[in-house]
Amino acid sequence: MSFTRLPLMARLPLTTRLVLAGAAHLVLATAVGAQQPEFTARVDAQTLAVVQPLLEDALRDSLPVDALRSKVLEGVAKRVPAAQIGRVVSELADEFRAVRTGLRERLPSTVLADAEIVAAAMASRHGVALDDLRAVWESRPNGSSLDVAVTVLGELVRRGVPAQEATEVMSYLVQERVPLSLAAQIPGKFDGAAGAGVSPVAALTEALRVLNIPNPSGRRPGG
Amino acid sequence: MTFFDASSWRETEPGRTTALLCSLALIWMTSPPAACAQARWEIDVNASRIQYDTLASLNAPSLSSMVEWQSPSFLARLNGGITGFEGAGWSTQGRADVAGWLSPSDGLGLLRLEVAGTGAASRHSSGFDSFLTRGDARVHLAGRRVGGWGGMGVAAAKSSFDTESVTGIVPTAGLWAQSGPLRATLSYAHTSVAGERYPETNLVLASSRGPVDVTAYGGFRRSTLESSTYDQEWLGGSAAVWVNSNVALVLSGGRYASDVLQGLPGGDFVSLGIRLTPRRSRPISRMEVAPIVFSSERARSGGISLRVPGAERVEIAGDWNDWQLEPLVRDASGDWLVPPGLGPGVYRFNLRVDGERWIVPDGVPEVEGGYGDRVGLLIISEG
Repeated sequence: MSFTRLPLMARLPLTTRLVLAGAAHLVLATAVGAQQPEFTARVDAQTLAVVQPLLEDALRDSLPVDALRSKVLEGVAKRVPAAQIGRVVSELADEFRAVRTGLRERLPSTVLADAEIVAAAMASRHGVALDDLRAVWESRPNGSSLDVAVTVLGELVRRGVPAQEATEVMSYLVQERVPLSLAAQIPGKFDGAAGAGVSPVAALTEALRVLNIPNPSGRRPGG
Repeated sequence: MTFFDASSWRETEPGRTTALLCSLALIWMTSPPAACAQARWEIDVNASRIQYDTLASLNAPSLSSMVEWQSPSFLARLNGGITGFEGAGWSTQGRADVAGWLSPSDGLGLLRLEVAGTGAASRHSSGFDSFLTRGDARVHLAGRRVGGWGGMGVAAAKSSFDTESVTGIVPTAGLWAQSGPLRATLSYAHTSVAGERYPETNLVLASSRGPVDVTAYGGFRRSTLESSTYDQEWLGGSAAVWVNSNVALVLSGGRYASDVLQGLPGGDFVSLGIRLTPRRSRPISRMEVAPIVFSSERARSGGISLRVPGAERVEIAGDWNDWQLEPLVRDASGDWLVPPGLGPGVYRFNLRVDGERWIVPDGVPEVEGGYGDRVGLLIISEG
């Protein structure tokens, strides 16, 4: 229950508050189960007891619940103990919450899609700072989904490209509406150049050159 | 220049806990560079029982830490630790390694030049100090699954016992091969000190599968001296079992080699410890050459194939099918075909090989999975 709702609740009689609280819980529990009936059928009772409250919290906070459900099902498929599934899902929800909060602070008028929050959280794991993510979002002309672009950004950083350089490039590609099918080839071309032993920045420059994408930082291959 | 005799270490050998670390690190440093960047930070708390060659066995609790940064062309690593010895004081150890790789030309893509440096120091509570510096230049020929190197090293060591440092020339050569999760490294070092030579051969096997990382090592040394305390064999190993992505139980034991340059004795040991880290990391395979980024047209038509060497049966599970295992079929080249129908987006997935182990195939971008493993990413672009 969010803090903003407490003053109103505090003015209500105790019995009314209990009924409302119970109803709210019922609605959330129904929502968590009803959206994917197969979910409750596939998850054992012990795991369900652990993750249900977490998913309800996530639903209440408008986090990417599908991604959390998927993480539960992954754990079930891998025969992970219920307690560990609960811990991992809780940590993942915290990651989503932190990234979304950070992006909302930096981009107050931007609506973030679930897939974008998940991609941002993964990129954040690879060392992409929230301010770099903001730069990518700010470069978006309108509407287009950024989950693939942000995932490629995270992958570039994971492979050694300094975050600032990678962010400059991805922001440019998003801004100029370079087809993502082309942009998504950057990490592969980058590896080809990096495999020859050049620095990550030079490898990125070479990858852009090979793909005939203008380099926003103006560096030439090897520079 | 002087050269230590092993007998001179009778009084101070409890301070020699870094010998095993140093020899394994040397082998590790001659591995080819990673294909992408990775940072690591680990803290180990260990309880060990050590039987030095020239001293009765003793208990030795220790606390050590390692910080590492590794990228395709550079590596930096710092080790530090403190060890207590039953009835024999305590010692601190520190070690720093740096290495850089470069390729002389794009036309010689398999060729790498490496320059590496090491500095190490230890101090025992009795006031005894020892220092080691070493520089190496190596030439690597690195393929996707096999490679080798040859090079030359120069090292200098000094301790409280001597007024002059001991210097040695260390030509080295080696081969490595990787098959699935198993990596084997065979190395040879021809150490020359004070006119004598101490050729030695080492073999290290390392594998990481599921929650378990295993390393085994063995080797032998035969000097040109008629009789030398440094002529010996060694064999041992370690296993780290990851409870989750932050904590592992580490069991190690065996015999480790004496150190010719520093004059450190060998010994037998068994150790049980806990490893703590912000996030488990694995050695980065240099076979990781490209992310799987497919067009939606190719994904819809079933044109995505994954390579899993040696697999008899492969199943796939991921976000798109609620992690329900689907068997894959092989194409004409032996690769495994992902079922058609995926739309644009980013999907998390794993393969299950032969009904038992979950993997991320080579060449696929991946992230920490949370369940002590990693998950792959299938990136499907629009258009």
